[in-house]
Amino acid sequence: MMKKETEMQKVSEIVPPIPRSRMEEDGHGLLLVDLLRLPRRFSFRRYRIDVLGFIAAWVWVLLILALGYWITRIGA
Amino acid sequence: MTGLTKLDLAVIIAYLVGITAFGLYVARRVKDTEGFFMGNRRFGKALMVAQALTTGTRADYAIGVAGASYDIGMAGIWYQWMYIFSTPFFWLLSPIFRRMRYTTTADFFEERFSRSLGIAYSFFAIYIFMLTQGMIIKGAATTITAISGLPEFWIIWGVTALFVLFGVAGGLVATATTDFIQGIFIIILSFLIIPFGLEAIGGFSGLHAKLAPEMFSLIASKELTLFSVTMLVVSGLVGIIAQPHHMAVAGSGKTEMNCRIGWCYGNFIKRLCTIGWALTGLITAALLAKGSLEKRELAFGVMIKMLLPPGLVGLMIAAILATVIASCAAYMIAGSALFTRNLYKRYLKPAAADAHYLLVGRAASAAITIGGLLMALYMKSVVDATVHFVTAVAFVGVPMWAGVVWPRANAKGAWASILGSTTTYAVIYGWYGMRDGSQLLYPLLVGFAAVIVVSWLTRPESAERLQRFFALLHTPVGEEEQMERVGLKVTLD
Repeated sequence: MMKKETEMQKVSEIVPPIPRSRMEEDGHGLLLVDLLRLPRRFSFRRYRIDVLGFIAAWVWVLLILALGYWITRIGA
Repeated sequence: MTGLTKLDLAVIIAYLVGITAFGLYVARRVKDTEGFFMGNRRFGKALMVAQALTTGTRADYAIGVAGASYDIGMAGIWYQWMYIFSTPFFWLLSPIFRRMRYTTTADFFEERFSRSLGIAYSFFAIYIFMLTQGMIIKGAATTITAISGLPEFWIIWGVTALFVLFGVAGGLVATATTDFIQGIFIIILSFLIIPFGLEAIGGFSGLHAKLAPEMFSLIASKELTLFSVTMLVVSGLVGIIAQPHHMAVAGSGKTEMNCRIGWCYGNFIKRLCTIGWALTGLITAALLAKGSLEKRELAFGVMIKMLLPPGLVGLMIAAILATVIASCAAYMIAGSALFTRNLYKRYLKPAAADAHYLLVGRAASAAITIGGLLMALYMKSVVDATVHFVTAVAFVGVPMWAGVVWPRANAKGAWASILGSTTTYAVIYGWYGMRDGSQLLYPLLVGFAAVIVVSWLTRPESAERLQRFFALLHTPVGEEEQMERVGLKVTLD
């Protein structure tokens, strides 16, 4: 049986090559882990889950802040 | 004699019996250390949300926010909303915790940096767990004493005995499963007083008529100014990654998505509850003259006693007990995991059977709790302890962020960062007595500068160590085969 080849990637000059993840290529890349390489590496497809979830979370922050402010204005 | 009606006592007893029986029932499924400490990493989305909500939501937070809002107005909300801007980052951080596949945060420091940092973090975290337990027990006991008139000493002992029984018997599975129930109680706690209070003061318009307009501002002219709020927000974000219980809270989901949704949205529910706590403080300010309370933290307990009818007072006490049990049991188990895996197993008895480590884990749980109990008995101020907690975890958070983001960061840089920020804090806070937020700003700047400069000037960690760590971060759970195929270790021994 033929042995399956593992595709490798380089993440830093001082880190030896590590296995390339198919899931990472398909939306599961992590923005914080790749933060210093983002200018060269960013693509929406790679970081899709991080980007969409992060934006949605900020929308929730704004909604909660607005709710807090609105409650202080009721009856004013 | 207790200041409670028979109906209140019946509600409390029914709750305690029910929750303990359920915990013991769930505990029968716990057979090994992975199950005890990490719930076998099988939590679904709802359980993850409940776990994040209840381990991060404590009665002393409600008491602190309500007390501050009674004193300085709506701005008191920032004692908990300091984490609101950090919460979107939970979405980004939780898969990192999941992919690390570590049981404790000390594993991170040992694997990414050095053994000495792993040991140092273990001791730091055990201290933080004991401190936190002390704050929780003390805060809840003060409030229950204010409501019931029972001696605080006995309430402290009673609450401690309850969560030890609960946590030691069942581990994380038991605490997380019952969190479904505890989560409901927390929401009850946050909103129960408000309708009764609004009725007593003539609704929201009555609230505005009785209080000065500045009481409704989200920024106060004293204590919580724009600068101090900004520094609390920044410290919250830096420290959130290094809080000792977050490895278990954020990493125990069945999938990365479960971890993300659970940790992020469990905490959003908490931010909503915070509005209820602040509103309770405003209602107190409208009902009671300023300065009529001996301590502002009594506001919450006094409102419960003044406003709620019999039965609901009991329900409120049960709700406070729910938050204490959920939080303390989770901290106790996380502390026990640190001791058992990072100190005992690694340095004292490396080759024992798993049943032996389970026994040690349970004994460590009890020992850590005794430490928390002693802190609760002898603690002077919950507020000071809270600020101390936020500061300490932020200083440890600096090298942890550097370790994840920057491969060049090394152990020497991490040590320099922790020692530099701690020393700067000691000088600024201890010597010069700064309290306006500068005591957080300057130590953090020193911490970041130290990890960058020292790491640049010294050699990076070994290539093998860096390869293993960053391979983990780039390998989602389920793709371990890729790492194993090239000879990289996936989990710790």
